[in-house]
Amino acid sequence: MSHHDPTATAAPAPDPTRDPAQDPARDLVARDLVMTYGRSGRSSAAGPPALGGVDVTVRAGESVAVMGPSGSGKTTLLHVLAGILRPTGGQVLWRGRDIARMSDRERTVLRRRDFGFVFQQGMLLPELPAIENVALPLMLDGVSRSEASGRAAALFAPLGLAGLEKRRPGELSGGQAQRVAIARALVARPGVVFADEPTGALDQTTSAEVMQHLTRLAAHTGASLVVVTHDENVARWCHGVLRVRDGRIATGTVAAQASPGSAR
Amino acid sequence: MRAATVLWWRLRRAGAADNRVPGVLAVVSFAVATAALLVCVAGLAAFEARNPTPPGGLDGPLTDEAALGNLYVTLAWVATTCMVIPILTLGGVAARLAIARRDQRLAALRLAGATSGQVTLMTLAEAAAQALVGALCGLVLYLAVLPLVARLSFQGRPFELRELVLPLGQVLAVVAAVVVVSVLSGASSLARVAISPLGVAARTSPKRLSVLRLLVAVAAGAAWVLVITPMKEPQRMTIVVVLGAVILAVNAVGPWVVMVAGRIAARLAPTAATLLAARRIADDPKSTWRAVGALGLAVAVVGFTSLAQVDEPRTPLEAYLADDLGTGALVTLVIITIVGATSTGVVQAARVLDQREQYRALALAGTSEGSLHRARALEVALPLAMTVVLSAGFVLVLMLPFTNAIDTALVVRFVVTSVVAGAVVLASVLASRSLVRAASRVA
Repeated sequence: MSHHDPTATAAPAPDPTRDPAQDPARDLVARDLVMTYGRSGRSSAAGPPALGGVDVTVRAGESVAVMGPSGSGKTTLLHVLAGILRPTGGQVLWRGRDIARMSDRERTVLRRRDFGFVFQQGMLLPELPAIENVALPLMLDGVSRSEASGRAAALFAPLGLAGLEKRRPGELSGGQAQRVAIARALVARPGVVFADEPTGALDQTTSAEVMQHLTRLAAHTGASLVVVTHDENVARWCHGVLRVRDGRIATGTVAAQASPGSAR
Repeated sequence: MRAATVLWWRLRRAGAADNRVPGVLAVVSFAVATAALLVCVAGLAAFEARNPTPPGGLDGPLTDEAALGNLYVTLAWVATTCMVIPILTLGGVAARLAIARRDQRLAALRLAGATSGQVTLMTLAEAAAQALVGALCGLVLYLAVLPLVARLSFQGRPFELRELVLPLGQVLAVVAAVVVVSVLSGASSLARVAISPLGVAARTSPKRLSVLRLLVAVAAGAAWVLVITPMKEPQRMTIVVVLGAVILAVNAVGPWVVMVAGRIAARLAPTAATLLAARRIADDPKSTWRAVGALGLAVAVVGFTSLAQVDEPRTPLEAYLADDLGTGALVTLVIITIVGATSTGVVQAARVLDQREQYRALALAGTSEGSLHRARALEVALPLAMTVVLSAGFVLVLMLPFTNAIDTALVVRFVVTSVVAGAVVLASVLASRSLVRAASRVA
C-alpha cells in the first residue's frame, strides 16, 4: 500500500513485502480522487469535499485498514475505490481501466466479478440457508447451481463453519454470520475485498476471529483487502493503515508482512 | 400510561417519513377492501330486492318466475361468499402492514417502561385509525364506481342507482366490520411477534405447515359431496355455509401446497432468480397463498358458472339466464382480480421495504436491478401459474366429458379471462419496481 498526498504527514513507505513476481496490473490505483456531494447528497455543494485529492495504491494481495473519525471520508473512499460511487474528479485504475469512466452496467459487472464485499451486519438474505447465501454471487454471474454450491461448500470448513451449511442467518451467531459473509465475498475469487466495519457489531474475541479468517482467506486467494474500521485492534490485522482526516490521507504506514495478526 | 403515550407520539412523528409508504399502502388496501365489500353487499341487496321471497316462502311450490328469481339470489350469495373471504384477507394484509415495521418503536416503548398491554393497545389503536381512514376512502371509491356498476344488465335490465345505494346502517356496519377485522388481524399478528424490550426475534427456519391441513380439505370436500350433492334443492343458506367452509378449507390447504411446491422448486432451481423466488415462497407460503389463492378459487367457481349449459329457455326471463351467468362470473372475477392484485402489490411492496438493506447489499455486490425484478416476478408468477392452471384444468377436466353441451366460444372466453386475470395480478408486482430501484440504489 502506498499513497501520495501533499497533506500527508508521513511519507509513503516502501513496501518490503512486495513480491516482484506479482502483477502490477492487479494493483488498485487511485489518483487525485476528488469527491464532492451535490445538494441531494449528504452535504451541500458549498461544503468541503468528502475527498480532496487522494492518491492510494493497494497492491495485489495487500491488506489495508482505512481509519479516521466519523465524517472524515473513509467510507466515501471505500465506495469510490469499489466503483459504488463515481468520483467528481480523479481516476481509479483497476487492471488497466479507469473505473470512474465505466458505465453503471460495467461497474455492476465489475463489482460482481472482481470485487467482494463484507458489511457490518453481514447483510445475508434471511430466507436462504448459509450455503445458498454463499453460492448466490456465482449463480448471479451465470455459474451453474451445482458448481456454485460445490465452490461455496469448499469454503465452510476453512472458515470453521462445517455443519452449518443449511442454517438460516437467523440461526447463526453474529460471528458465524459474518464468516458466512466472508465466504460470500470470497467465493467468486475477487481481486479485492472491501469490508466496511466488518466487526462493528461483534465483541473483541469474535472480532479477532473474524479478522483472522478474513485476512488469512484473502491472502490465501490472493485478494487485496480494504477494511474501513474505527477499531485499532482490527487495523492491526492489516499490512498497512491509512488514516483519513477531512477527506485527505493524514498518515499512511506499512506494516511488515509478518506482523498482521499481532493483535492477537 | 401518559408518558408512554407521549413517547409513542414522539416516536411516531420521528419515524413518520419511514412509515409513510407502509401507511399509505395500508390505507389503500383498506380502501379497496371496503369498496369491494360495499359493491358486493350492494349487488346482493339489489338481487334480493328484485327477487323478493314469495309470500308463501321458498319451501312451498314456486312459480317458474319465483324459482328463477330464487336461483339469481342464490347465485348472488354464492358469488358474494366467494368474494368476501379474499376481501377480508386483504383487510388482514392491510392490518399486518399497519402493524409491521414497528419493531424498533415497540421495543423502545418497552425499554421506556410501557407494559406489553399498553404497547399492544397503542399499536392496535393505530391500526384501527388507519383502517377507519381507509374505510372512509373506500366509501368514496364505492360511490364513485356505482355509476359503472349500474351499467351492468341482469334479468334484461340495468341496475338503477337507487338499487345499489346501501342504507346508512349497512354502510356503517361494513365500515365497522373493516375496522374490527383490522383490529383482530393486528392482534393476531402482534401475538405472533414477541415484543420484548430487546426487540423481536430473529428470522429462523420457517415452521413447516402441518399435513393435517390436507385432512381439513378432505373433510370439507366430503361435506360438500355428502351434504349438498344428495340434496335436490338445497337451502340457500346451507349452500352458502358449506361453500364458505369449503373455501376456508381450500385456504387451509393452499399454503401447504404452496410450501411443498416452493421447497421442490428451491431444490431444483437452476438460476439465482428462481432460487430466491422459490425460497421466499417456501419461507412464507401463507402470504404467497393470500396473493394467489383467491384468484385460483375464482377461476374455478367462474369456470363452473360460465361453462354451465342452461336448458332451452321457456320464458323471456330464462333467456337472459345464460348471458347473466357469464356476466355474473365475469364481475366476480373482476372484483377478485382487483382485490388479489391489490393484495399482491401490497405484500410485494411491504417485502421490499422490509428487506431494503439486503436489496442494497445485493446491488453493491453487483446484482443487476433486472435480476432483482426477475426474482420478484417469479415469486408471484410461479404460484400464480400453478394455481390458475390447476383451477382452470380442474374445471375443464370435469366439464369436458360433456363436450357436446359446451360452447367452444365459452371455453375460449374462460381461458382468456383466466389468463388476463392472472396477468393483472402479476402486473401488480410492477407497482413496487420504484421501491426496488430506490432500495438498490448504490450511490
